This record gives sequence, structure tokens and C-alpha cells, in this order.
Amino acid sequence: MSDGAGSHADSGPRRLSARAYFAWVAVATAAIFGLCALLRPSLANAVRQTLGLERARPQSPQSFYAVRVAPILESHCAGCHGARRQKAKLRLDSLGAIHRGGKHGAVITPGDVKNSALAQRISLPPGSELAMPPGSQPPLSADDATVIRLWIGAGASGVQPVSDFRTAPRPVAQVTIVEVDPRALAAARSPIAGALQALQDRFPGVIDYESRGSARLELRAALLGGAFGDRELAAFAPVRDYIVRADLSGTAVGEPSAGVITAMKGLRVLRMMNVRVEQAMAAALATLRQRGVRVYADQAKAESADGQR
Amino acid sequence: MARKDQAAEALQRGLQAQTRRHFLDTCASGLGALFLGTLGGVAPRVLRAAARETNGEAQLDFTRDPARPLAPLPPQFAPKARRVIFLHMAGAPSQLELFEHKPVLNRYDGSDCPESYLKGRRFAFISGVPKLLGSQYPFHQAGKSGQWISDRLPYLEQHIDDLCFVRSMHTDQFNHAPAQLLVQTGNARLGYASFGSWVTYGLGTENQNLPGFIVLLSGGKSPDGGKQLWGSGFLPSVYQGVQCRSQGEPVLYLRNPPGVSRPLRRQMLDAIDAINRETYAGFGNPETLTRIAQYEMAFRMQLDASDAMDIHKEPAGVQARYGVAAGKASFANNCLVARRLAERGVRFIQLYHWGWDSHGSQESEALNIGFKERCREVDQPIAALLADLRERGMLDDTLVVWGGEFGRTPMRENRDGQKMKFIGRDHSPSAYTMWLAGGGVRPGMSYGETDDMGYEIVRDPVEIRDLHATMLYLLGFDHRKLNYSYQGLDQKLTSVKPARVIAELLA
Repeated sequence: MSDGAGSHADSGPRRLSARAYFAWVAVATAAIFGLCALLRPSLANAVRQTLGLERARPQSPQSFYAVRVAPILESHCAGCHGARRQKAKLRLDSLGAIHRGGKHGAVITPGDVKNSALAQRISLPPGSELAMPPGSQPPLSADDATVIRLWIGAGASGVQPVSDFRTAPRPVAQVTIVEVDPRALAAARSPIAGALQALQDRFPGVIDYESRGSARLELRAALLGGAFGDRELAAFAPVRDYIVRADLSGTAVGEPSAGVITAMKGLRVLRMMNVRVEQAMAAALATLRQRGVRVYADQAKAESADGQR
Repeated sequence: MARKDQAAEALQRGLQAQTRRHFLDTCASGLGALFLGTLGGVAPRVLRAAARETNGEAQLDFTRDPARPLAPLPPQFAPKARRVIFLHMAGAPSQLELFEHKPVLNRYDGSDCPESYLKGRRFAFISGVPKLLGSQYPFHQAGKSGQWISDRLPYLEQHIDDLCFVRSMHTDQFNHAPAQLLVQTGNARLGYASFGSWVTYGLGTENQNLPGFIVLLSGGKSPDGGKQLWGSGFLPSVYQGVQCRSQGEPVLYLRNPPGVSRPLRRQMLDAIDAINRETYAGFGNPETLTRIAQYEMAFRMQLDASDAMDIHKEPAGVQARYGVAAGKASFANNCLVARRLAERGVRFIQLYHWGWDSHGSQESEALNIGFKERCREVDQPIAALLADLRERGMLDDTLVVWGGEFGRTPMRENRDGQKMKFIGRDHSPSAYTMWLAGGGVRPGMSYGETDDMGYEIVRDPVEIRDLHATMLYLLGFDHRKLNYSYQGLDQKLTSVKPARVIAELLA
């Protein structure tokens, strides 16, 4: 090559030295590589990843990302943008991958929902050409889309806690049907089984387990109305720790029962509509409310409504 | 001697009453019993264990003392809702005049319906190319939840933050009777058990002096689906709904006729009871026990039902709140009765209000006339019912459901291709709105979404079996486990197709 350069020594105004030539070629190659990398972000990403240049993103398991965002992406997106397939060279199954983007570049601009393709494309009307998930895949629910937009708008962080997102839609309830272990259930019920049977024989339909899988009890004394009073309630003392719900509406329970009711330490809901509530009972109800028990009582109604059965 | 003759005659009659069916019924179990007898003590245990399992899965046991078929049973798991009040708007109210705000449809009001809406569709009445019809009433956002509602339901609007709208209900029936059957029994054909029957079968009822499942009608006409809507299908008939009247005597023929005292009635029942028990001993048909139990309940109901139904025992203020109309069968009266029944431990209360079939073929069915009346009839009572339940601490465990059997088209009905005198819409099964409240339902939200015309579902479609599965979940049941073995199948409310509990609707 240097010979070639020499042979053209006087053909042009400038001579290109061998070193300069190599330098130019190197620069040009680098430029082409750079251009490629720019046009194909996945390549740049691959380079950055292999060179270990990527910034490590801090993450916490209690973050809004981990608790709310990741499960949505996992169930709706990771089928095509995850470990198994990487359509458009995009993965949405890790925080790093989301920030990295795919074949067409970044999919999020932290803090800028409008310029985040991810936020925009899940918000398009389902079925439209660019909408994600595409085609016949079920679209994200409106709440799920909101969660993702909020997260990107707040900076798409991996550590920002759930409590920072006060306006986020409430998470979807869990539908779980627990298989009952008959042996554990029998053990849980055994301390009260005898006493409960006796009470059920004496007051049919008035007390029973809250469910087939539970040792907690429901007391439905309202069925007996005025025939159920302090003496009757006292009979439930042996099982009182297991009572979680008590309906004493329209019964004749009065002051002497205040202590019995406060002693129901597992109580969550108490109904005492159409029952005259006086001093000791009023204090008892206040105590219960403080304990977080939902108490429904309305003394004023006792005088006006017919209430009697 | 005479006694012996009688006995012989009874035996003779009994033999005559035996049919081929009895023989076939008993011979299978009889031969089976003979066979099991030869196996010694092991087999019966195996048989019993097998009876409680299907495909290795443990089944819930719903057997009860035959004398107390409605005895309460605990649900499978801790419930959110303990009773249901189902407000069925028979005839199918227009979602586009009440809850579905569609500005784009309003913009295209009067223009020809796009062909894609008609292709491959069957309509009850629309023919040719109908015109699109914008909403007849203005919409606004209401409550903290900012949900859209029209100006037709100003009272209900006060409770909008308690309501959970399902805007993407879907059905495959476009005629009233089968569509109503599908909503109420999970199947569009006759012969299936209604929702109320399933719930009463699964949970029994708290108050043994009242039926567990009560039906009240208003609107001047029974729903098209007829009594099958509250029938028990293949479940024992004791679980069927009891239709009560909110006008005059609540239950017909319940009162003792003149000259018959309560003790005399008791004596009569005892005699009937003895005869029925003899029949049962002879044939072993559980329906005989059902009959005995029904007589006994009717006897107890003589005292309790008339009291429960008597809305005039309510203070004047409460009556005014509901807008009760004295001496008439009105929806308002029925709502107040529903609250009284719920308070008394009735498990499932079903109200039907007829008159929502707004085709526009006559004044009473016009969106701009009759529909207004229907809204006025239900608006205040439903709001009062919700408020009353809340004040009494019962909204938390009472599931209130509102809805019809399908939706109405975004096209104006053009019966026989003609422009009609009144404004109306045809049946539209592809999308409609229902709402739920109380009983563990997430308040102040909307689920699902329809397109800009309110015609097709674009997000989160909900099948009726999904709604059923969700309601049963709130009542403490996995819908697959609330089943009844009949004709070789573990029958379920949700049928054999996959149904899902819609977690998004749960509080």
C-alpha cells in the first residue's frame, strides 16, 4: 500500500501518507459501526452489555415496580417480549431490559409518558394497528394501563415504594380457594366442638361455623328476636373466643351483656340494630370500635321502628 | 277384622301404584345391595367414600335432615355476601340511555348504520339499513368516582360511588325468554335450576319461618321466561323460589278459610303428615319429604309472612323515602318488602320489574315516553333500598345486583324497514351494562369497555357464567364445587364451559 501511495507521488496536490490512510479507514469503520449502533439500538445494547458499561439499576422487592408493574408486564407482555421470545428484540421481563429497549430503540422515557412508546401503545384502542398487546390478545385493563403510565411518569424507578403512588388504582383482589386440610380443621375445631353441638341443639340455626373450612363462628341471635336475652347470650361463653360475627339486632340483650360482648376477642362485626343501648353497653361498643370491630347499632331506631318479630 | 281388610286394601292399592319406573329404580339398587352384601363390611365404606368424590376431587356434602331441607349450611369458605337482592329489569333497559356515554354515537345520530354492524347479525325487528340513534338523554359525570350517568336516575346517582358497573356484559340470546333464563339459570333452555335455587340449596336459609328464596313481581306483566326463572330445575323442588304478592295477601291461599282455626289446621296437617310419611316409607321418593316440609313451612308462614310483607308497619318516613304506593303492586313496595325480608334472614330476594322493552312500537315502549316512566318507577326505590341497607349495616353483606337480559342497539328500530312513530331500539345481545353493589363488591368502579357506539365489547368481556361464578365466590363458593349430580353430570350453575371469577370486581 505504501508503494501505491508512492507511485502517485506527483499526481495530486496532496499526498496521503500510509499512516493517515490507516487512520482514515479506522475512523470511517468506527463511524459506520457507530451509525449501525445508532440505527440498531439492540446492537448498542449488546455492546454495552458485553462491555459491562450498563448502569446497574437499584431494585427493591417492595417497590411499585416489583409489586404492581412487573406482574402486569409478566402476564400481558412477557409471552412475546420475554425469555422465550424477543419480538422486536425487546424484553419486558426485567427492569434493565425495559430501560434498554428493543430493535426500535427505547420504549420508555422516564418521566415522560408522551414520549414513551410502551405507555402509548398499551393505551391505544384495542384492535388498532399499533395497539399492544396486538390482535386477539386480551388488552390491558384500564387500571393496568394507568399503573404503567403512572410508573413511567414518576421516573420508571426500581426502588420507588408503593406508598409514593397514592393515585394508583387499587390492586386487583386475589381469588384464592384454599384446599382445606381436614385434620388441621378438626384440630382447630376440637376445643369447642362439644360446646358448639350443645348450643346448636339448644338454639337451632343460631350459631354455626363461618365456613366449612374454618373454626370461627357466627352468632345469629337476631333470628330469635325478643326471646334472646342476657341469660341466653351468657350460654355462649364457652365458645365466645371463636365468635367473629354476632348479630344481636332486635334481641332483648341489655346492660349485663356488655362484658360478655367485649370478651369476644375475635369479634370483627357486631350488629345491634333495634337494641336499647345504655351506659355500660355504650361504653362496650366504644371499646369494640376502638379495637377495629365494625359495630352497627342505632338506638334511635329502637323507639320508632316496629322491629319486633 | 275391618282393620285387616283396610290393611289388605292399602297393600293392594300400593301394589297397583307401583309402576315400571319403581321397579327399574329399585331393582338396580336392590341388586347392587345384594352384591355389596356379599362383599362383607368393606364395600359400603368404599361406596360412601366414592359418593363424596368425583375424579379424585372431594365434593361438598349438602345432605340435610329431610325434615329441615332449608337448614342453613356454612359456605365453602368465608363469604363476603350472605344474601342477594337481584333487581331484574325485565325487557332489557337501554344502556345507552342510562350508563353508557357515547359522544361519537351522538355525533352520528341519524346517519345510516355501517354495514359491518348488520352483516351476519340477526335482529328481533330491525330490517334493511337502520339509522344510528344517539342517546336521548344528556350525560354527566357524578360522584368521586366520576362515572358517567344520564339524567334519568337522579336518586341512584347519589349512590354512584357504591356501584360497580360491568359495562361489558355479553349474552348469546336475543329473545327475552331464553335470555332471561340464561341470566337466571345459567342456561337458555328450560329445566335448569335458578340462581336463587342454587344459593338456597348451598346455604339454606336463616329464617325457617319464611321461604329462603322469594320472588316479587311488578310492572304489570310477568317476565317472559315465566316461573321457570325461579324454578329449581333438577334440584329438589323445596329450593324453588316462592312468588309473593306485594298487594293484598302476600301468599295466596295461605290464610285459614273462614271457620278453620289454627288448632284445626294443625290437626289437619298432622293427619296429612301421617299419610305422607306412610307414602314415603312405601316409595322413598324424597319429593314426598319436600311436600311435608312445605306444609309445615306454610303453617309457620301463616304468622310470619304477612308480618314480613306488611310494609305499612314501617314508619311513614321510611315509606316516603321509597315512594311506596299504598295498595298497589309497585316496584317501590317490593323494594321495601325486599329490605324487610333481608332483615328477617331470607337468603335470596328476586325482584322483576317489567316494561323495559323500548322498541318504540307504542307509547309505553318509547324511549322518550314509557322509558322515562320506568326510570322514575325504579330510581327512588333502589336508592332508598341502598341507603336503608347501608344504615342498617347490611350493605356490607348483602349483594345487590341490577340488570336486564341483554342490551339495546345503537341503531333506531325500523320495524318492517319503516320509520316508526316513537323512538326505540332493538335487542342487542353483544354488549350491555349491569351493576353490582355491597356484599364484597369493589365500589365506585367500571369494568369493561364497549366501542364508540356502545355496540361491541372492546375490553374485558364478561359472560353471564363469569358473573355467576363471581357472585358465588362472594357468597363463599367455588362455582365448581356447588354442584348436584344429575343425569350423570355434576350439574353447576355455570354449566360445563369455563367460567372465571372476575377478581377486578372484588373489594
